[in-house]
Amino acid sequence: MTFMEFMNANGGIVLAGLGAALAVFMGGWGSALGCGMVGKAAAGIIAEEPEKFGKALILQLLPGTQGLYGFVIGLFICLMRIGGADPISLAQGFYLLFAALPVGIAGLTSAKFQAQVSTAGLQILAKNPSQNTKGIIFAVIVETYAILGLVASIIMVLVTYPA
Amino acid sequence: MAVVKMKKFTLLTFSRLKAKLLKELQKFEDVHFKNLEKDELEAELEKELAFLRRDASEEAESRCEAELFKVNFALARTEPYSTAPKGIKALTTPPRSLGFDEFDAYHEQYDYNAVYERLKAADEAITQARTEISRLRGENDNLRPWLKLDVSPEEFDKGKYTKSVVGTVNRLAWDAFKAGTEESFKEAYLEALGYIKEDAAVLLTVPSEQYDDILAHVKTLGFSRLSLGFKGLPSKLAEANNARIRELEAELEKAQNSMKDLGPEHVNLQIVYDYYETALAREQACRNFLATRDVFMAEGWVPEEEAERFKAIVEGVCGKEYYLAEEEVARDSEDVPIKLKNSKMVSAFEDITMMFSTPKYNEIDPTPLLMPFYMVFFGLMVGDLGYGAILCIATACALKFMHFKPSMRRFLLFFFCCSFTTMLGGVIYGGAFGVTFITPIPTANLADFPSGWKPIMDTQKDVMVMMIVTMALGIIQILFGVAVKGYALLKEGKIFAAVCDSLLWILVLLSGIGMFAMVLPGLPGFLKTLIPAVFVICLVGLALTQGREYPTIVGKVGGGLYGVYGLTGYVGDIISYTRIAALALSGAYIAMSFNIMAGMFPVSVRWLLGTIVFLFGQVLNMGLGFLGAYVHSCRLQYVEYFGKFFEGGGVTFTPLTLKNKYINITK
Repeated sequence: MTFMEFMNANGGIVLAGLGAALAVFMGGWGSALGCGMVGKAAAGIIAEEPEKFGKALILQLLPGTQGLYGFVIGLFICLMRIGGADPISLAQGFYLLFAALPVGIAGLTSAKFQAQVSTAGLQILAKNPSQNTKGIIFAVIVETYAILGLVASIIMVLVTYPA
Repeated sequence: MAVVKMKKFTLLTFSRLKAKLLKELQKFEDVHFKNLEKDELEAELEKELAFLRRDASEEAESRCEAELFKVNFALARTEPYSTAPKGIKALTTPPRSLGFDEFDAYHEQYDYNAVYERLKAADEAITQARTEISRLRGENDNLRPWLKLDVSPEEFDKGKYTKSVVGTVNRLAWDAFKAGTEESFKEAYLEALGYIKEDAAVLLTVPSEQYDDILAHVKTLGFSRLSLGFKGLPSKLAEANNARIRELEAELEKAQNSMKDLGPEHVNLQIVYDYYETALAREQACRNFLATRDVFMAEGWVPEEEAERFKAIVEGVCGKEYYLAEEEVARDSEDVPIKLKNSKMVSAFEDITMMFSTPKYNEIDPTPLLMPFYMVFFGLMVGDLGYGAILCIATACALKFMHFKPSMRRFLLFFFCCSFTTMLGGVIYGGAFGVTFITPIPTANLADFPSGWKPIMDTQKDVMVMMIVTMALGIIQILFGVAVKGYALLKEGKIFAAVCDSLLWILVLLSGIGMFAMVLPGLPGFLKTLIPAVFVICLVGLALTQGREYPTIVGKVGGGLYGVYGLTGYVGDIISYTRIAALALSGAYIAMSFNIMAGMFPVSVRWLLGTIVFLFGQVLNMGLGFLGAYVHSCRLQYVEYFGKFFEGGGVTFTPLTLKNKYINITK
């Protein structure tokens, strides 16, 4: 069996699997990076003011959603497409691979930058806790692009999928 | 329903009346003082008022602060033992209520200083006992390797025939060391008493005459000599230490108990805390005044409708010994403080306005204008009947059964309002918790909807429809914003500006959208010429008028063209509203994926594990949904909507008020 024959027979499912994996691990990578970064900074505040734990936790959780978004797309590719009734052609496999990229790449990058904003928001929490909400708002704005990535991926996987 | 009309006042009266007057005004809670120190008094007044000095008593302020420091200390120490209800119960119990006079006199009849002194003594005793205990424990740690030593160190050199020495040898080398030394010197006595980390603690007793030889010998074998830092038998010393530790622990417990006994004082200390915060606020208000030895002068603002009451209060305190001048505030005044007044529901949305900026005195209060849009956007972004119902019930219960500060109540009421649109959004998207079941629309598409019925907007099949609907909402809000601007300009009498900056834009936007609609069949023929004509004429009108405020011809032309270019900004603004659809979709799909996961467990454990996954996922998604909807609804107001008509930048009305953090003060 030549490589092309193998690809024609199995390429669809291989690429779809790669897409699912990429969506999950890139989102998760970004979120792990982001939550780690904010958590490290938050620990510094909690050492002196333990009562701010709840608010610091929210700031830490903000960059955690990208991993969830990636996971949702991975789940949809697995359950709806790979585990679906129809076989996946090579072209459809490529399509699903690309469909994973919006949530994967937007998640990876936005989580990092959101974490930076969240870390800066911790400064607000430390110095002027009554204005903490504004720090959260700044961080949520970055989230927008992860949501757009998620929605683009959802549309590609579920709505415009070439049957 | 708007920015409250203010009246400016100037008040002069005798300083001896100040304390009483400030208390009354603090109860009144509606006076905002102007800081006269910062103010550059008008030139002709300056000479007249040059003899006035700043009226602030740093001494009185620091006295309040010192008392607050004590009360804070006492509050922190008694908090763990407080008898006040905690947790949910604390929220459902109404805060303690006190009349103002009782509150004001409380610190005189309640001896909080005695409580403070007792707490301080107990606190010092605890600190001292703890330090001592840890020192003794450290000493015992040092004694531990030598506990078996039955000679005290000062006796080492005093033996008749022998001398002793202690030191350490690596614990692995001990056996070899002992054997080697005993082989060379038969009379030497070696004993390993204990261990210090990696080393054995060794006692070496040798005949006096061989002492130097043996010591030189053992050094080559890795023995290092130690001099012990204690006198007496180690076991005795340790025992004495332990006895002292037990004594100290008893003392510690006694001190802690005496602190615990003061736990019930916590709630009383809270009243004192509120009293001094309130007193401090009065002292700080004096910073705004100017004074001579006997007279002080205050300027400030009161809401117009409260002006009579204000006058009555002043008269009540000062009798006839005062001078009060009131004047109207000019519409364009920059320094007048802004108070918003709205109905109860609308005022819940004031925080959204204030978070952006306080309006100026000559501006419209945008709160009632943003409320309906905010609610609709929020509802469509979360769009889940279940989440809406939970939000509704939770906020309603909190408002009904719990006691919160007014700011928190406003926040809860705000979410209570939004919960209804959230439920409505759920009905439109047809589901609760990511499960679609409200399907009122008949459909021929049996492949996707086997029952032949579909939701009003399906989050899977009607994505394009959702985008278009949200953009349509955006167009409505933007047109409304531009119209509000026109209305504001008309109210100022600027009819030409209203036409140029509002009407022309509205017509351009409407005709521009109309041109997209021209592809529709069955459009009357005359519209096909009318719409493009209106579009072009208005565009030309904009190009001619948008640069009218520039002084030069080049400026006017350039400004006009740049104004027309602003149309692209409107396109961007409208597309921005698709975020409503995007948030709705992400929420719906995350809910759906958790439901899929919950259903993937084998039947035997599905009820248990599936329920856990379902609950966890839905709570997470609900939190994310509310947070995202809160922020993005705000953003649409601030950037796309306020940009059309609202500038802000006013000073917030901060009256002299009672500072009641813990208790409720009835006037």
